[in-house]
Amino acid sequence: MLIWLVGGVALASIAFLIPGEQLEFWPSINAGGVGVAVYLLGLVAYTVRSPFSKRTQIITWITVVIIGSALAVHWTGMDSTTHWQREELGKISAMIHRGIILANVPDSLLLLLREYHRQAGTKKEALAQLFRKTYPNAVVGTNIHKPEHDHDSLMVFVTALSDSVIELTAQEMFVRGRDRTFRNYNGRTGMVQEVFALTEKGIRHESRN
Amino acid sequence: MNPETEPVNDSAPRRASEFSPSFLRWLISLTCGTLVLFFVIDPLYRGRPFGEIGFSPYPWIVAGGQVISFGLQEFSGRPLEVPTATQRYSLLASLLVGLVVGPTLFFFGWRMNRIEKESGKKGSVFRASNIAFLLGVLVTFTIAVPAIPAAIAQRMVSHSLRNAQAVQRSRDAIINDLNWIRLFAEQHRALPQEGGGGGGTYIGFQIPSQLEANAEATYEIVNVFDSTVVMKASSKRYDAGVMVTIDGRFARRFPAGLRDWTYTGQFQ
Repeated sequence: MLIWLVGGVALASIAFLIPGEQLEFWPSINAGGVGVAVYLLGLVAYTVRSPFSKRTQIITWITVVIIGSALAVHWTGMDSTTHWQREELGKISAMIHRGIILANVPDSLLLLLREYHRQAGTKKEALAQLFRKTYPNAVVGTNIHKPEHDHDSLMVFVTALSDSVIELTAQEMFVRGRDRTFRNYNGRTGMVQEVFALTEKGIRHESRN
Repeated sequence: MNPETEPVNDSAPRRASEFSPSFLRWLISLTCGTLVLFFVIDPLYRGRPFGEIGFSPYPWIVAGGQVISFGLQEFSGRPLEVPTATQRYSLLASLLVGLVVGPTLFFFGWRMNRIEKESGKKGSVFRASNIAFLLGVLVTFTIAVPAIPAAIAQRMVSHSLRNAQAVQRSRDAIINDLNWIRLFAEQHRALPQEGGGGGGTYIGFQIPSQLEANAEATYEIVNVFDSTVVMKASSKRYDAGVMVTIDGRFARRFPAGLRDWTYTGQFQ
């Protein structure tokens, strides 16, 4: 029995350690699970033989297969469901943060648009001049978003500022967008990024990631 | 008679020693079991034995918990916590105890018991094969007995979770789309009539063609007034819909917000 114990521990441990140090436990635990399954099949085949009767052997194997299948279903179900939940949380988070961007960023541009068209007379102040009334020190590259709470990781960069166009690029620091390889404005990769450009004709929007 | 000098009577019948091999095995097994219980299993079972991770008879649930934890960390904008070597090895220990040591003790204990029975040998109840068998039963059955109901429950929960989440996500996507439409409505209100806008009203506003329909829903305007727009979204996936009003009645509140959200069908 001791040899079998040592062999089983060694087999499962080696299988567990094969995937190496990964962020998730799943690669190790799945590999370890395969090692355990191989070991258990050998163990049952070795121990449940003569002097056990044929009937006992058959019943034992059926029980082992049923319990093993149930464990495998639970195991793989847990693997797929939790990964799906993580993906869903990511999608919900991206959706919420896009909603926050949508509720904050274009509203300031809409105010500017209304102000621009409300100017009387022929000599109108340019969009950039009006923008500087609210953000006097803003230049291209400035983050104009003031965090509203500790976990507010939104950044709104001025990416174009001229008399005819004001472009704001809103990006999240930790919220993943659609493409994980997308290069964000501030150098991060894969985060949500939305771009809004204001001209005197209105706002143009582009969902970059 | 001096007991110290009295010779031993070799002819007297020898008393059975109370330290028989079977008793010693029992004593050692119990002592080891108690030590394991107090110093390994108990702190492991109480969770966070080394301040990091607890013992679980189902290590795949721990792995699943870690994935959910990663999802929540990403959700709240926190960097992911990299697992430590202690966490990794306590997971391996859980796997080994539950699925290697337990079944080995159970099957070998069972086999040894059977062989002893076949050979007609009558040993102590506390013989090694019995103790191994009992420990094996304890560990193996802890995992095996709930396996079938757990597998069925897991499938059912997963199925209902996916359905509920799909409805919720569809609803959220539609809410986002309605917010986009609000943006265009406000833009229409801000633009002068000569520039194709409403000159301070919503009159003439139409949903931009790219927002009229998508994979989630179709969007239409129910009513347009000077200072309000009533919009309706009809889900393409479910028997459900959303109705909402852009309320631009208060000039100070520009851009206007959305109010009077009404959800119908499965979105309720």
